Amino acid sequence: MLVVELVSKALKRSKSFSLIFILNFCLAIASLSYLQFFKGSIDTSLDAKAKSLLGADLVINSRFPISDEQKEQVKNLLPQIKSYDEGISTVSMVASSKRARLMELVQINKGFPYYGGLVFNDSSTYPKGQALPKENEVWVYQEVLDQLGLTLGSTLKIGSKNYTISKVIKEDSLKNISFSGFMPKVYLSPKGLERSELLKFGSTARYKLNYLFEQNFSNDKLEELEEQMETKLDRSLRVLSPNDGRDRLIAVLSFLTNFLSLVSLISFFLGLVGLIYLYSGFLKKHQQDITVLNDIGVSKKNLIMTYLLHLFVLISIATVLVFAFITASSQFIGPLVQKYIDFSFDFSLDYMFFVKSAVVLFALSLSIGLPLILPLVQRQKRKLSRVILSFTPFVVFLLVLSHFVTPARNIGFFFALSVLVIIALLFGIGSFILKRFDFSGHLDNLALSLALKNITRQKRTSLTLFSAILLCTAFFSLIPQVGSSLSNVLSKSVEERPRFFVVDAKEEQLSDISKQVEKLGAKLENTAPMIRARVLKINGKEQSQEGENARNSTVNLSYRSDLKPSEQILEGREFSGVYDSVDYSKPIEMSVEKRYAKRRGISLGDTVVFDVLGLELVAKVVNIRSVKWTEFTPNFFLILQEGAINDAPKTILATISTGEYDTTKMLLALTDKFPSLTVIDVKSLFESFATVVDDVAAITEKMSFYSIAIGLLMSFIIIQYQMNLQKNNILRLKMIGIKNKTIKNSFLLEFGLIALSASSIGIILGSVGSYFISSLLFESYWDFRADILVLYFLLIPILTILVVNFFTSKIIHQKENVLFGE
Amino acid sequence: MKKIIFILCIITLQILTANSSTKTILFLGDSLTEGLGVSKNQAYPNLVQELAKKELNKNIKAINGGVSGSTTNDALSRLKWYLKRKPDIVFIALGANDGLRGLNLTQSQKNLEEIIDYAKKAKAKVLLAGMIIPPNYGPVYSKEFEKMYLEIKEKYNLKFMPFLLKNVAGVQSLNQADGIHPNAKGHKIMSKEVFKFLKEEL
Repeated sequence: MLVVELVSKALKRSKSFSLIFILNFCLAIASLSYLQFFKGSIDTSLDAKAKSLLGADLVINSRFPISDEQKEQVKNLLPQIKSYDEGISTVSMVASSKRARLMELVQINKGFPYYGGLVFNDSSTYPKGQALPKENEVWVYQEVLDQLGLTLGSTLKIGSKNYTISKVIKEDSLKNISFSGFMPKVYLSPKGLERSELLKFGSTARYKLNYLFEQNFSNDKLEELEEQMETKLDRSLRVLSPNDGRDRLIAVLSFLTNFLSLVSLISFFLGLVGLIYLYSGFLKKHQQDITVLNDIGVSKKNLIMTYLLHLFVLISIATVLVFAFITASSQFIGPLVQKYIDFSFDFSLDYMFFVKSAVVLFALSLSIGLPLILPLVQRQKRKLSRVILSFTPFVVFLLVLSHFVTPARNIGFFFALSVLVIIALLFGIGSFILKRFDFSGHLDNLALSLALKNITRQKRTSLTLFSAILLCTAFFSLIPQVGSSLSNVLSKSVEERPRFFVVDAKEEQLSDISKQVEKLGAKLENTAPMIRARVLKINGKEQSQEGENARNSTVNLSYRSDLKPSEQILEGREFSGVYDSVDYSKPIEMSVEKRYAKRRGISLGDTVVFDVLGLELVAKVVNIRSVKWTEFTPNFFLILQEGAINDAPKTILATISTGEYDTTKMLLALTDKFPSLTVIDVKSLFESFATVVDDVAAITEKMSFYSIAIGLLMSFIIIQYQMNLQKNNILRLKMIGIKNKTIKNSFLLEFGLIALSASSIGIILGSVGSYFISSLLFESYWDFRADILVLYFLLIPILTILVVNFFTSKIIHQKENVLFGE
Repeated sequence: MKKIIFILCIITLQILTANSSTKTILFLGDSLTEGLGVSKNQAYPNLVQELAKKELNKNIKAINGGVSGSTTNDALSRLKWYLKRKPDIVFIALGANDGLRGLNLTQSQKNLEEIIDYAKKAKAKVLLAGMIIPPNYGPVYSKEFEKMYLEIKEKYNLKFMPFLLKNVAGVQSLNQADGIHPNAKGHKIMSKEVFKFLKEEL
């Protein structure tokens, strides 16, 4: 009871502190909660997107007609089915009067897909609002019209029958983000496909069973079901769940969600800095109360309980406020965000989110409260080792929390660890420097003299403010630089990526192809020779050539004299030059991509024996390199030294740049002039990729601004609170007759010096951090943003000076008796 | 005694003849020849080599010149590479990928003819295996595809095996899950058919 009474008194007596504390904590957890909540919404939206990529809850896929027995077997393994659909797709030469091209024919059934659907050029949609095409009608992609030289309403030939193009498809949710989806699609009704008479014995087709279940299962649950079924069904049946498509999206978006998590962590850290600062200041102010209470017989246990409960009440008020705000705002934020960007977000609330957050906040108040309260209650100077030990649970809590809020393994953990190490170093080095240069003399400039004295004498306050500003600036410079590097690479506009992939070119054709491509206004780029080989031995150990291993042992080799800018040597050295042994008595130097090396257990210095079309060659790994996957150019796991296998039979891969040329004309010209070439148009593949990335990158950018805004507010609160603590000091200076102007200047100099030095180091730390995060964690180029650095370098010191100026003016002109009253 | 010496002489002579006439056959093809999804030993070229030993007691050297995804376009450079090993017979089993990718067949025919010319110049006996394109590619393209092999056969007067995947294509139990590539059982059947076709040349 005594504890409750004491807590209520503490709350009543320090209203302004309580308000500032609650506001500070609200901002800290709002950022973390909102960003986590937002991340959850992205996940849910991706789940929905993944379902529309598949069109159903679960799909069974086979290259052979699925027998009734197999269908029954599948049915017995499934939960209650709501709807069921049997789909077929095949490839065929589709012809106009001008030319014929290979296209994918897809049978579309009534009511399918269950998720997503088609949008046509005339804005009508399917399955909602549109009946199936008639027996002699087809729906086609725009590429079909381009490649065959047709228009809406024209006739095309499939098999030996003619079909009328009744609709042109603008968007197709079933369009895969993969190279297998490059063939233009022609949709037919079941009767239409039957009419073509293409499916008979010996035909190749994909047969699909699409299921929609009564119960609404999560994608993870469906993936579990997929895994269970795959073990029970025969190998000709492949089970697909939405996560198969989601994984591709996730691979694309994981960098962005990781970045988003880091941003939310940063906001939270900034909030915590403010929180620790404020609460330790509060306790220090009430140290005398604690001593008195202890002297009149209040037990230490009760005192600890009192301040812990006080902290818990403050945190709880802030939490309730933030959660109430999230609940209220979620209703209108969803539609607002959706209006802003073209991505459907699910902002529905999950009570588990609140439960988890409440547990986290309870653990936080305990882990942070105890090390701050205990030393004051125990009234004795504690050993450094005990101080460190008391903060250990808080540090562990922070590391665990950071680990769990970031999707990628260890990124959050290492980020939090480095921030903590930096803070520890700052305090360590800072204390040493301030102790060493303790300023006790006088300078001609009284204001400067006073400022320096304040800085060196109030070491803890100076260092806390210095660390807070340094972290703010570091994060301010880090977020936009990482964000900019990341979005530069990911959302690199479609124009900068290749438009076509050229496969199967002959070496002697290259110059003619290049001339033809240039004639049409583009460039043939990234030409790469490809040689087929089998891995026979790794470090003398025979590699199995049986079954699945036979597939794994087959590799494509390429050769080059140097690495591309998108590649980086992680271990080892560059190639020594052109291979010069005539009889292969010397091993060929080889570069291996890091993930392939890891998968096959290949390390630097290892020897690998290849069978290059009947010739056994020995290669030695001279480097392990990383390849930036976002480049979208031909890349090889294994690259050999130039000159060793140049004579081996090969095919050439290349890309054609995007530009202001007629792409249909390019495609037709190349396939007409070089009929054996395979030219793949990758526009739609990159477009769907780029759209999703652009959308999420846009949100991420906005979220970084939120984080920066929190940082600024936090700095403002800390400076303001610090100024309040300086009231007595100002009074003392006034009483000994120092001019108001000198007092004001001394504060401006004190805070200005701290802010300027913290900003300078913060900018450097932030830039170094952004370099490491960009290049190591996100595999992207570092985008140095001098404009942002200058902005933030000046912003915080200027803001500090403005705030200090405002508060000093306010306090300095108050009468002495008012200040006494305080 | 004289009888035994005579029999021994005959056997020795046979062995000597068998060893001295070891023929090298280059199987120039795609994934069907390479044996995608099965081991190299289970692929039909190796099985043909074993059959020759078993059925004819002849040592032949089969070079598996199959590369997955190979079209008629890239096979010539591979032929040049393998001609260094002076094959007596070149068994051409190409064109499936040209057909499956819907490539222009006039060019495919030109590529095949170039390959044959080159092999003949190197004094190798050329044998041709044909393919049938799946019916879903449409009757026009399927006929053109079939015609391509027949024209080449006529033009060069080649010994021709009409369909490499005879009795294998379309049969689920003889193919892998992709429905295109034969499994080990499928390769056994292919090897028997190819061996039957090659036998006389050995």
